Amino acid sequence: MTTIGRSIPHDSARGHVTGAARYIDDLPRVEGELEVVFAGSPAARGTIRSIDVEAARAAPGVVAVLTHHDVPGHNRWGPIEADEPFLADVEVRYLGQPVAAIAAITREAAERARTLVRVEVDEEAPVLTIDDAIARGEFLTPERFIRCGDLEAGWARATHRLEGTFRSGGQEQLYFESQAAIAIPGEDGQMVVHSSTQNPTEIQTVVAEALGVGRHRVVAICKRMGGGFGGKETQGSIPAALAALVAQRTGRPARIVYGKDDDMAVTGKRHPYRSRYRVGFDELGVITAFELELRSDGGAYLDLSSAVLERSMLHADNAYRFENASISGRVCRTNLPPSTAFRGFGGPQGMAVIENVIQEIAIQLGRDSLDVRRANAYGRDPSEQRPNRTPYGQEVRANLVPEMLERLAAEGDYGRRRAEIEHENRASPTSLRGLAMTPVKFGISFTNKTLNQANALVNVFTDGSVQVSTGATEMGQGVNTKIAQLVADELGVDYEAVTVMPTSTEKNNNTSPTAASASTDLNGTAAVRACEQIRSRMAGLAARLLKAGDDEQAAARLRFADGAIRDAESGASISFAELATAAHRERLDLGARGFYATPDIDYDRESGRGTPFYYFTTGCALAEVRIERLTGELWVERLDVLLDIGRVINPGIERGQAIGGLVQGIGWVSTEELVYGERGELLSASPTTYKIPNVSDLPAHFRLDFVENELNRHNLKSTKAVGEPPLMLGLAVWCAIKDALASIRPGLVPQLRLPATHEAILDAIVALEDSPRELEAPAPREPATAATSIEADQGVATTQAELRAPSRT
Amino acid sequence: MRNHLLFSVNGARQRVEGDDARLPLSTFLRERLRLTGTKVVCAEGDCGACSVLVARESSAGASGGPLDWQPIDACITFLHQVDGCHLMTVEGVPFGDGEADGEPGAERSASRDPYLHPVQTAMIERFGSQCGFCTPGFVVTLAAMAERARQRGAERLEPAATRRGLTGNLCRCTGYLQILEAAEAVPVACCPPLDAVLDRRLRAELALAAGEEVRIEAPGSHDGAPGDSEPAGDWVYLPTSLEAASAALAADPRARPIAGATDLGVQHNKGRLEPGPLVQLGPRIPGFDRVEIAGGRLRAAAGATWTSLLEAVRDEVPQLAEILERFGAPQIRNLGTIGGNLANASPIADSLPFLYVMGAELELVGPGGRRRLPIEAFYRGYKEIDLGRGELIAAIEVPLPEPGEVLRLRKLSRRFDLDISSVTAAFHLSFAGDRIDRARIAFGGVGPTVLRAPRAEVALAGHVLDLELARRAGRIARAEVTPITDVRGSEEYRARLVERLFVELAYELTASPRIAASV
Repeated sequence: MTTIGRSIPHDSARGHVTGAARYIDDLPRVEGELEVVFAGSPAARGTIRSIDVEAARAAPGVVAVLTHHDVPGHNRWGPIEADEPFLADVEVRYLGQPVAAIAAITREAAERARTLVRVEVDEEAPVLTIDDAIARGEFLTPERFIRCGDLEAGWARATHRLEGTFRSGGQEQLYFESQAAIAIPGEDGQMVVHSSTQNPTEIQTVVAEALGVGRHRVVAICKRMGGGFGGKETQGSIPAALAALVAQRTGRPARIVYGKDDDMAVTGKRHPYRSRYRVGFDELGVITAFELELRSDGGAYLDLSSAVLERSMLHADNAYRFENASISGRVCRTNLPPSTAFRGFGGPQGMAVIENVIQEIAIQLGRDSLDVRRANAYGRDPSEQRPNRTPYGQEVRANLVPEMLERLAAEGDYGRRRAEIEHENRASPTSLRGLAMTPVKFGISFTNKTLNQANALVNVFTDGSVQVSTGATEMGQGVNTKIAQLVADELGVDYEAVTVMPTSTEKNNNTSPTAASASTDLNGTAAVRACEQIRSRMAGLAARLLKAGDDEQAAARLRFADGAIRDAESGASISFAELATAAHRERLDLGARGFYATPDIDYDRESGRGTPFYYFTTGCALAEVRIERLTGELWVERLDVLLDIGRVINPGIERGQAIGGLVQGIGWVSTEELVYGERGELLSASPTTYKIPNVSDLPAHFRLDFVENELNRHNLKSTKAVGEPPLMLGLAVWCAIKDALASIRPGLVPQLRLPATHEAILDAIVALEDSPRELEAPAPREPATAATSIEADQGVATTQAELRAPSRT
Repeated sequence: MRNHLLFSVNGARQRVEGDDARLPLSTFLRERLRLTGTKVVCAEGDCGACSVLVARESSAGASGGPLDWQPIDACITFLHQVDGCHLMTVEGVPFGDGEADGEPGAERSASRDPYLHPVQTAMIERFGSQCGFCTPGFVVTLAAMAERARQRGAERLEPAATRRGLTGNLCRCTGYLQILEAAEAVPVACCPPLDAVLDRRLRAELALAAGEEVRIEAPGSHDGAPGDSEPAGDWVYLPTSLEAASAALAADPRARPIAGATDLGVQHNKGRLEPGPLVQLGPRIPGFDRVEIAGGRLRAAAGATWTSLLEAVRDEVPQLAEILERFGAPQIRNLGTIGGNLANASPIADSLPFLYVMGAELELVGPGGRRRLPIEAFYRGYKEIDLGRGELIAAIEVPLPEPGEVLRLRKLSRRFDLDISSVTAAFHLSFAGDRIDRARIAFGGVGPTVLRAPRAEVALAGHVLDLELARRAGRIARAEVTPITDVRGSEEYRARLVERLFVELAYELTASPRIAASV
């Protein structure tokens, strides 16, 4: 029996539910181990005048205090450009930036000494917002463009236009296990680092560079993470380096575990964006011209910001066809911790703009937003009328978005609910309901082509059991379980016979981060390729042993299944374990390394053209919300979701990814708000003030289905990546809020921020209520699916400062 | 007088003395017992990853009856709070012979394991864990729910109640749905009794211990490096009478009373709690946790937990029950007391607007005897209360709304559950015919203390409440409050809410089409 398609429990599930699964801080302390904390910058921006660590050094229990002077290697790191210090030297660029590392015999002693470090800074006024950064000319990257079609022609064809500024806020990953590492010094300058990281190779690299040794002296290991969500793609670097520096200096093992408040205060988060747009469209809402200027808040150092921005630009179209578009992007530099990866990696910020635009087009035209989405969506396959080409020139194929929109509209009873909601919104003075369906089309592959490779090591033992090692790290997403399933099926052994080993740079070198949703694609394919080599060696022997003949056809006739190798012709068989023993006796290699590099991808960021993605994962969500009009309180009442993730490897795990990602997306668009003070201090720096979704925020009606996609032949076993795309379906909730607000003054565009907190919703309500009456559009909204053309322009004619009323071209 | 702590963890007797008595429970479990299944994430009672179960023997002596296991947050519980209690961590949840739900859809060969509690089996088979860091907290919380349901004779956990019961456990990975599905799949009748981990002798010993007076000399620098101890002199005292507590507080000005510690535990973890002697108040003081409703009045002793208060008012004052359901989370309500909430004097305390508009009275006990004072007199300014040296809150008495009166309570927060409010409000109206006879209105989160809105109250009195009046009163009230901008909302947002809640009240009370049409 094959395992693919079966809901096999997570390979650590038993450890999770019994408490036996160990995370970094659960590892027993070893003799002489030190606890490490960092002392941070007292200012968000300035030049360091002095660092006084004498009092901290003299404090009880303290063994070492290190500053930038104590970094023997080079004190700069970064995944794209090495611009960030491990310990600040000349200047400080964000509040709390690590300046000194304190090692003591207990965590409490280290914490006490931490308060004794004195850092004097010649302070400068910090840049804390995108607007500020632009005004002061502070950028981390040059401006880049993606352009397509002929904007002039697009504007000429537009019968309507709208423009605006859209802001989306940052988001804290809030992985439950905070950043953590243990460094254990070895012989000859070697160092073993256990790190809670999505990127052991990056940890190996930065530790080697900080210590001033070759990478061959450093082993980075990750057994599991207590959540990552992108926040451990690069952000494990500083803590791992600090622990390793202490371990190298003292010759003692060193452990660093950030407290949650510190973690939230100094590590990177999702980028806030400010986006300006101008859109031209026709009476049906078909977009004829689209101009977009994306500006992200990259924080103090580059980190992954240019790649994140690139993905935003590549997802500015979401699932919609732009014939004529100009998309520009630039990363701003501020004095906040460097923004970094977070599930979606810029995709959500790009898509949020276009989904907002679609809502606004619908409001301006008095059309149902679903119809506007239908009118603009990429078709299933390219045709002569509809080339299905993205602004960067990649063709969209086997695209089920149009089908999913229709199926969800039917199954979700869209028309009836729309009518009911309109009626209720007219009748109720205190309650507003809203409805929106948004699609997602998310490109799979790292946009940095180099990263689209993986290697895997598969070892078969003579008892027929199998160990697999890959560069993929396990953060709860179930990649280990899925890889074990792939390997089990490939070798025809029971799932229980396969163990996926902790990720270690000792077994898999030069690996890519577990990111971009692509870890099963890349590492799973590499593992399958390793299995193919072993199987082919074993098959030759099996053919002889089963007397099937010694030619290649005989070997090919053998089936590896159910723990045995069977000759389909004769029915003769040998167990996998027996064959493994025999192979070992015959001196056949029972280990193999597989390698995979994603084919057919290429993207030129200078020209903004190419085929950056191997394929797209798509889906759509229908959300219904209710708002208390007098207070702005929000409830998500119902969610219906469809996803095309191709062939499903493990329904239980992949369903979990979909629901979990979606709920994170809902958090991003509603309750999760990062609030900073004037000095650049994060005020919402703990779960008390930063509110991720609670169980009671889960809608009472929540349905999720995977669609069959017979067209998908593309990827590993016709599967598709699932990790990130569902997060962006959280935008359906935001759009439903905007939809609800639009019923207050039909025709007027509500001004709604993201996240749409209760306060933000109330702000929008009050602005609509306070707007002059004459702006109100008399035209009722057309029902969905109406095919007749719309007299869209009767309602609104003038613009007005507070509330942007749409204007005609 | 006993000079050490006695309690049990997973059925094993624990004796703790000296500095360790002041450890957070999570630190004791993880560092001393190496039970690392209990995770610490927020260290402030806001995520539930550190959830463990606590059960208290009746202090009257061993009854041997089934225990009431309640989840608490181990990170903000000090060890001296659990003296005389049984504790259970994820490592100690008993396993049973129960067969989990036979529904298809999940693989079980890999996970079917005789050494698991049915909650654990369900969590495995229903994909209730992803990264696993929050999972131990969910497992123990669900195990306690299953235990309670089993004691009731229920077969399944009720889905709506499961949601309410899990509001204190956050999960960042799963989006909760598969955890709820796991909960629904738990075969309650097959769950082994949690008491099964305890032997009778242990139960008898702790039943006795739970009523004993305890005083531990503890320097209060347990966390220091060796040789770094502060001079001895601090102590932790667990008195068995209010008078003894008061005398201990009066005798040493450094001493402070502590009850559920749901705020002091947070202050400790953030490094904001000065060491010093502690007087731990709790149910070993007879009657200190009593709640009773009689003669139209609610009387709660200061040590009554929010859980017991919630149960007491669920039918009698549903409006208050609705607010208390959202007060913290089950873990917080199982620890936190009304006395602690009153003395902590937060202007955003969820209970206070209700107590203000109902005219609650506090009963204080101190070296000079007992005195009573109205709640509004108790609060003098931001976190300033009328409590003399050695004085303690003994109880609070609240008249309950009478038939025909209106009580409306509102809690507005960024997130519905497990969130500190941005604004709280209470409206208490009595009527003479159609007209409002008397209005009492209080708001929290819009000033240094909870504020009454006397001018708005006057504006309402003597009138029929319609939208016009509500708007006017709202504008008046808005001018009476003094909100500030902070992380939970802007000054403008809070002022707007104050104003608009009057309009909401009018709609609520007058569902007449006339008003609806005039908007």
